[in-house]
Amino acid sequence: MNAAGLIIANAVRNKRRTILTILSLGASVFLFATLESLLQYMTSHALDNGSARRIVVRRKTSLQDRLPQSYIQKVASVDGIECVTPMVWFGGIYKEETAKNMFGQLSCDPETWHSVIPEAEILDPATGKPAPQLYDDFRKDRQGALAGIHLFEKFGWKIGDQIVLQGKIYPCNLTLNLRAAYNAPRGGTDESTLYYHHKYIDESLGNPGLIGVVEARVKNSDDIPRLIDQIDGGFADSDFQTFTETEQAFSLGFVKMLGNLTMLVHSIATAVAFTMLMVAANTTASAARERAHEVAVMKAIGFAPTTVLRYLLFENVLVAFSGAGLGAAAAYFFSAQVRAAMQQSPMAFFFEQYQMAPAIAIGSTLVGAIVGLCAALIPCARVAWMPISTTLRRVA
Amino acid sequence: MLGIPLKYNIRHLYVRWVGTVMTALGIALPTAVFCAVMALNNGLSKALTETGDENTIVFLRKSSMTETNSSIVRADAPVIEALPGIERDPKTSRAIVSKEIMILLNLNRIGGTASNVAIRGMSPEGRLLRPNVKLIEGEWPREGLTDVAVARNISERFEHCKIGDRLPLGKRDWRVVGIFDAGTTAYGSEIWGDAETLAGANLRTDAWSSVWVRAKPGELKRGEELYNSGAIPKSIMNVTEAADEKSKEPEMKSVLAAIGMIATSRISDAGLSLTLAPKFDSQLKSMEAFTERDYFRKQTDMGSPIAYIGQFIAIFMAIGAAFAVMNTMYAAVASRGREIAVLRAIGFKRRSVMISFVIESTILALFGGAIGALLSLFVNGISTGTTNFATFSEITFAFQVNAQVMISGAIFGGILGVFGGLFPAWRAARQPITQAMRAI
Repeated sequence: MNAAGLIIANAVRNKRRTILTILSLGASVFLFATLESLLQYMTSHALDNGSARRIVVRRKTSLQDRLPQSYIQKVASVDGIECVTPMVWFGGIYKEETAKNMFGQLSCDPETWHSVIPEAEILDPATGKPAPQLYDDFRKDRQGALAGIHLFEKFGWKIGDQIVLQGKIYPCNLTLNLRAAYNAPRGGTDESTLYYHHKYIDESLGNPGLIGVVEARVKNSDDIPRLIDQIDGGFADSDFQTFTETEQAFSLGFVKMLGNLTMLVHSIATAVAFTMLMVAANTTASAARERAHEVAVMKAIGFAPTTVLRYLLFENVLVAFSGAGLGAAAAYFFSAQVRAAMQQSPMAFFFEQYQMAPAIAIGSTLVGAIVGLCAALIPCARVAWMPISTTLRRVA
Repeated sequence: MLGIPLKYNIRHLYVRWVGTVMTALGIALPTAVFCAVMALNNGLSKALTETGDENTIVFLRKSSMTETNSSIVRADAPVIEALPGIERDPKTSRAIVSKEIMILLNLNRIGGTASNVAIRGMSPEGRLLRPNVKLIEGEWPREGLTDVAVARNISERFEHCKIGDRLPLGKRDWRVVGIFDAGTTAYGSEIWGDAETLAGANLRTDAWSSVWVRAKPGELKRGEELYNSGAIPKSIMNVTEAADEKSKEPEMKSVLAAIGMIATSRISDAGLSLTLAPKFDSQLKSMEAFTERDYFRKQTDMGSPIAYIGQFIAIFMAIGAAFAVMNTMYAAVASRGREIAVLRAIGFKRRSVMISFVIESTILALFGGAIGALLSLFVNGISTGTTNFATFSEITFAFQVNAQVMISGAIFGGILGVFGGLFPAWRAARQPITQAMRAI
């Protein structure tokens, strides 16, 4: 029997213990991986869905406050800005007020929207094929809506369907005709937002002429720092001061608003990792104790303590690796279920298209294996260096 | 039936103390996390549910749900002020009504990221409506001045919020003149100033966010009684266009005050928000009223993801820990094969052996659970904050580890012990005596 055979045979000699250890580590790694992945997803999602070529101008006080619509033109005329669209976050209720039914509802200027967000490709949701001609239908219908492909799939919408969004922030309802779908095959924008005509909401509210933000595409991303200074500086003395940032920073701002919650989740993940350490160390200790007698025999016939230690460590890492791998794989393949669970929570909005990144699954497996190694070091070393005579003399 | 003495189990746990401590710690950590999450949830829901007086009523624009979203056109405010049944201030004999504006200001957390902090502009009566909020430093902002008072939790956690600091809001800077303490209520996450001045600075002079009133103590009960007696048609509680309510109109008019104030817990518990029938003043029709308590309680449902994530974490940590307990107990059973056989041989029943092992595992787990519950005391009182996405503004709250949390934690640990111990105990009980005796 070669070394590998010995290690594997030893790892599975007490099948129940091995299985229980694997399951215990698996549950912990599942949790660890999922928590870390949810945190990582929020950040990377915000970054993926923002373009380095776009900036967002909002009122300085906070997003709650509106800007006058004259700012659309003022921002557009700044040198270095390619095109702009106003946006208003409607925040309405679709069907019923549940976290699951919440999605981004933004107004836009249909004449410029596609130039501002060229990453988006217009699709026919029925075929999933590009259908640029549908954009015209959206543009021509005052009550038209353009929605991310993800929303079409989620709610089972079809082109031509009419939906009603009940106003919560605004005292009006929007009745919208779904005209086109879009996706973003190379990233750059969110696939679960619904856009409607800015003119429609303005009219529904009696033309107050207010907007939420101005979103602008710049000609050259190197100009952004200058443009930010120029825009914010230009409005510094006005009644409506502005705060401009890149689209990525803007999206990330929502994640950052969670503040300490992020740190808390990290701490919990760390506590989970420590629990794994305890569990693994405990199992290893009892396994190693049982093995003391045969380790002594191996050493008596000439195996060096370091060799024995290596075998024992390999065995433990193998078990830890299997458990961690199982947990991480489960977390990876059950991403959809985790997403569905998160959809019931008030955080649904952040996890609309959640999927664990393979890197997180691999990383968590390694964390599990390393934890297994650390946990095994002391108990295994103790057994490996135990004097042969004492061990052999002891009756089990 | 004679049970195996408890001493037997306790001594065993003591003899193999390294394993006992390791397993106990393996249970202690999940328990500590469980307790911490419960404590957090406790603190958060306390902030939202303990705010509230039954006689304090807030009027919002219909279906806006939060003050951040709501707006009540200024011209409509007198309709509310004119409602009979509003308490008067004994000193000034003015009706206790506060027209308020809610402004969000994006501020940096000290050494951290930015978040929106709610600034509440209020009429002078506003403070009478919240008698539990106490000034602890400086003075209250005066009417007409660009002064603000900051809640202690916000002052400690955000930049520009100490006395004498200046808050950048609009074109002018606002002076922080006072720090107030609002206990664990939602007001503890706010900045207060004068409504009219703030509205002017924020260029929102067309509408208020909300109108708050103090109802006379009897009003609520009267409204409730009228509702229960059927004097107020059920239809009034919903958006329904009741066609033939004409005949009832006079009495309905007479109870308008009560209806306006009603928003009782009874009605909101039934999931109905108060919406007046169309034949009442059109202004009131576009509004909704909630008692202060219901208003903040509703935000708990919408705002907090913590309880949800907490459950998810507790379940998975519990699964992991239960398997670990099982492992320890199997090892305990395996190493005591002979002893168990002896116990059986001298007459202890299978059931006694089984119960004995479940008890042992439960003691072990309760020990771990207790350590975990004690560990969670370390986070007690730590105050922290996150964004409440219902109001889109910062809410600060503290971990509150109380007896209930700790006891639940220990029980949580104990349950793990029962589950983890069941199968190994079953195995111990089923072991054939002769075979176990013969084994080395």
